[in-house]
Amino acid sequence: MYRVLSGHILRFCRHLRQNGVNVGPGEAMDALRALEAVDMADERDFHSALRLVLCSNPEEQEKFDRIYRLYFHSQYKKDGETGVPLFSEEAHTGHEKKKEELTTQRENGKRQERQAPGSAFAALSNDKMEESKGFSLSARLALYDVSSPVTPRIPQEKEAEMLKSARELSHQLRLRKSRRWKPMKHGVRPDIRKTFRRSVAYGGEVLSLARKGKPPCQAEFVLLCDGSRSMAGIAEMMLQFAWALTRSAKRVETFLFSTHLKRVTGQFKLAFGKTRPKLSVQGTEWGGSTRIGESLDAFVSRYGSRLLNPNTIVIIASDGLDTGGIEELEVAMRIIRRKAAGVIWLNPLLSLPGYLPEARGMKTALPYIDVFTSVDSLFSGLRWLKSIR
Amino acid sequence: MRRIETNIMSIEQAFREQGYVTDRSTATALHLVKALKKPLLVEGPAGVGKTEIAKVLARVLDTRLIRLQCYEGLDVNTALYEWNYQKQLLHLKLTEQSKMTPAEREAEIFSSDFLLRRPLLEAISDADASPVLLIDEVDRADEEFEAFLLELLAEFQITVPELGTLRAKHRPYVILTSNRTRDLSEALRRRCLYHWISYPEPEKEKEILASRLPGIDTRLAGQIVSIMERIRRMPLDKIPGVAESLDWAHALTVLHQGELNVQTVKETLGCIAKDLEDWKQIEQALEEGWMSGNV
Repeated sequence: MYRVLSGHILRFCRHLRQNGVNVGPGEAMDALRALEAVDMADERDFHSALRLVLCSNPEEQEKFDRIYRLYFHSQYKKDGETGVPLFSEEAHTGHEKKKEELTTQRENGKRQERQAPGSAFAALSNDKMEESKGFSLSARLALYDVSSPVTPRIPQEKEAEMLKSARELSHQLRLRKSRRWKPMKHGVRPDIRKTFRRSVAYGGEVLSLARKGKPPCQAEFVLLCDGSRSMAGIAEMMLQFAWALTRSAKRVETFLFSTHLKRVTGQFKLAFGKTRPKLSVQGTEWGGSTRIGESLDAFVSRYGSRLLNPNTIVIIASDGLDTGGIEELEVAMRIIRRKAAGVIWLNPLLSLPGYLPEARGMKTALPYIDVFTSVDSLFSGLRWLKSIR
Repeated sequence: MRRIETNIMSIEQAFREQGYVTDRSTATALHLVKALKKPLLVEGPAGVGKTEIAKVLARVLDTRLIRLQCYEGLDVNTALYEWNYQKQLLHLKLTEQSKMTPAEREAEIFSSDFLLRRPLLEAISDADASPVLLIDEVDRADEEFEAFLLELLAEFQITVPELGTLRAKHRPYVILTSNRTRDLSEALRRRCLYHWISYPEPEKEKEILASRLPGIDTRLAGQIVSIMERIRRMPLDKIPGVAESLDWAHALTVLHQGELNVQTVKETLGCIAKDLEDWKQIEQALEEGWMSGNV
């Protein structure tokens, strides 16, 4: 029995891994240990124990729950072997169903239901889940890819200039002093601990005074790149800039949006050394129409509390030609402005002679922007840096 | 140390006796903390009772609670140990005339007599029982500090260069809390069990109110929960948690208000709204008749 269970758990862990949940052999072992400690006959405990051990953030929990249902509640076929579900659909207790219903109701009641960025699962409706019964697990998971993936190209041209610009941006921006005291040669306070440690060698005589001070904070960057059709050509350049900045600054978060928002930071981080990342996004995040308001609103509500702080510089690259509502754009811009250290808007249209930011979206966003400049300014010296220092 | 039966039901029961209403998954998490001896990372919005879990766990187990409040700039010396420099210096001066060699004098002043134990060292050096170690708001600490915690959380040991490696005789029960103000490292997450606490369902929140404020009127509790549920659906900057519901209920009880109406809500809005914009938004909703009808 135990071997059957461990086989199930290992296979389940493999499915989680294939779907982006970071589960290693250590976690699989912990999962088995956890199951020994709970009453496995009670599915609530079985589910909770696995979830506690195998997930490490809410995004993973969301994926876990869906894969769990597919794996343990349905007939599945894998590698030519017929599997028997560990729990029948009836075993999925009324309690959990009620909880799911309540969650759905609550989500519907919120401002607007959004598709979770990066989570292909959110795109699958319940109907599709029903239809998919009877297929193999992998086949059903494949159904989640609702639109064909796109691989945006990151250009090589002008890479050296872009790297120089990114390095300049990350090195020259100094926002405020950290609260942390660090040993510094010309610090403002004597460092008693270090002074004393140094004096021990001289029998307790203080011959020189060590000092400490507060080092300046390094800026953190959030890049929101508009990948809609109207940004063709420019959007690729912004990806190149995002790549260059990822290599130069300590913390850079990159998002793409068109009608939906997608976080691609992980894909940038996976590329090592000088290898350019191969981005995989959907049509709704690249090459579609523009819904800046909804995308920024999704960013604020899902990532705002984590990524926006007094060290964050938000760089938005967009032409401001919005097809969505402007109300959400205004709310999102207000929150971003309030929480971040500065907002830079790079608009490619600014390099066109006679351009005025009269478009609805751009007009709404303007009061919340610290630096409004053209994309070309990335190549022509960052003089505007002074205005956010 | 009091022993509680190591099953999930008994943990739920013991927590309820202490006035903390848990759900099944929280109880399972605490059960696994005991069974697997792994730290528990609790995340969720502010005011849902993350810190309280550790406090109640300590009471339930009848053991010490050791709390480390994290903040930006928290360093190892504040969290782990510090040498008592004044005492060391004084000792050196007092023993100046002794015939000890410099090496002997150094060994003497870097002995445990001169060591100031900070929360983390305190937690692993308990000789009698496992304490509960609460590392609160770990997301506020710097990344360097988070990296330092890895050794402690994986091995339950700490290295003091002058004294060597100190290993816990009784492993502490570690609860880490985070409000997600920044992303914690994958390494830290992987060393912990992970539990997310969200806003409670109305029924559970009513139970919490009744359990923490036993004298509260059932109708008033129902009204509070109903309004809080609607407020949480509003696009607020600081969404009120259970802590705010409790504060509000307490305030209304002190003011002898047995029922909620628009005027009472406005007068006590400070218990719920913690931001000027949010305040205005709720007030506007109240003026637009948002409360009329089904409260």
